[in-house]
Amino acid sequence: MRLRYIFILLAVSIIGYSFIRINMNSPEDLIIGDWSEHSWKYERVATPKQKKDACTDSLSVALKEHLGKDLLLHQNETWTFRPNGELHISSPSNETRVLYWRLKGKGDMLVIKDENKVPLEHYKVTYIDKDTLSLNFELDIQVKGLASMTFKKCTH
Amino acid sequence: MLRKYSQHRSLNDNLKLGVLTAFVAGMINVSSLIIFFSFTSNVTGYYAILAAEIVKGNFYQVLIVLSWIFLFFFGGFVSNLIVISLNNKNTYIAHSLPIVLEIVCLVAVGVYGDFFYEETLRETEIMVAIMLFAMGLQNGLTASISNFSVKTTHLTGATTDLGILFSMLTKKHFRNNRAITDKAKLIFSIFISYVTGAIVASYFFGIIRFKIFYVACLVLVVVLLYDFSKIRYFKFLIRRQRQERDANRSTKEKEPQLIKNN
Repeated sequence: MRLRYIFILLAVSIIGYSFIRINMNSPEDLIIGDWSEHSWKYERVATPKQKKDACTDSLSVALKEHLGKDLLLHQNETWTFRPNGELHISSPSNETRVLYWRLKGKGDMLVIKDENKVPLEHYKVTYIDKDTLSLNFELDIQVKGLASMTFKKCTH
Repeated sequence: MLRKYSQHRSLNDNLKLGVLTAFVAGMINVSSLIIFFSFTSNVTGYYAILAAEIVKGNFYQVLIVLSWIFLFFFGGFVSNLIVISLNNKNTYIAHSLPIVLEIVCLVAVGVYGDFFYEETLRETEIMVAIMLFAMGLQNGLTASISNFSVKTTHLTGATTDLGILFSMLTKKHFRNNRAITDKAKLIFSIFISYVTGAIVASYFFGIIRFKIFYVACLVLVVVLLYDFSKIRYFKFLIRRQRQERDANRSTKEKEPQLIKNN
């Protein structure tokens, strides 16, 4: 193949890529807004027996509360992702804490940082569209496995 | 390290090149994993991710992963294109130009990360893409000039080869085969060097952050200057030999004249 055809192909690919990229919503655009927790689910658990049982059922409220007691996203009611990287989390008592968020990788890792921009938690973004956000995280307390949290976008 | 091509390379040439470039690849891969949550020295996993994202219908991710895979491929393409185009004119320049380009890419990532990086997704995608291109350049160069015996940016093939070679080394007649022991030495050295680079980067990243890319560049500069200094040293030796020869010749020419005069 002659070299000029390769470079023409390369130029066409770059133009095509740029066109699609500009017209496509990135996860960073989709995450902007207010979200509230909708449901929890086990994705993967330690034993096949547990897996069989857990894939269909959601966690009990008590277990959910116990496992999620240390998670920032679970402790609060509304999470507002702002375009400037700020994450405003509002508790049921209407107290608002300002943290920072960033998407890493190919837009599939959500990193939450504290006030000093030190990473606190990270979640795997398994699904995102304009209305739904699904995050996975490793549970490493008494129950081994991977849990999935689903959020819905708040409409004011 | 860089001056010789294909079959003319000795085990020592491949060992030096393999060890130094594998160290760099290990550093870059771990650094990108810590900063960007993405691997940048290999693309095998990305093919699996690509398939999974196609099935899920996440076309944004499909596009990103495709472009990353393409840039690794394009790095190898550019590297070998430089080698085969310039090899006849100047071997050293042909083999060092991809390393120079790799240094430029890594310095760009280091400087941008140090002074401008705001951790947006677009920046992350572009910086990962640049690093994948740099690793493609490196892998393309080492594989191309060593007749495919040195590949330093990923260890899947190396681990397989090492398993095969170690099983062969359990038999005496294979242990006496120089080619097999040499290959085992080379792959094992690459393996150790890659892991060492990864450990060094993960330890020092917390301290020096994006400056880790300058350290990787320094190692690459050693690769470049090693042969350059050797070339200069050989030129110096040749010049000195010529001068000595000329001096000897002139004294020999003068001797008969002196005898005649006497």
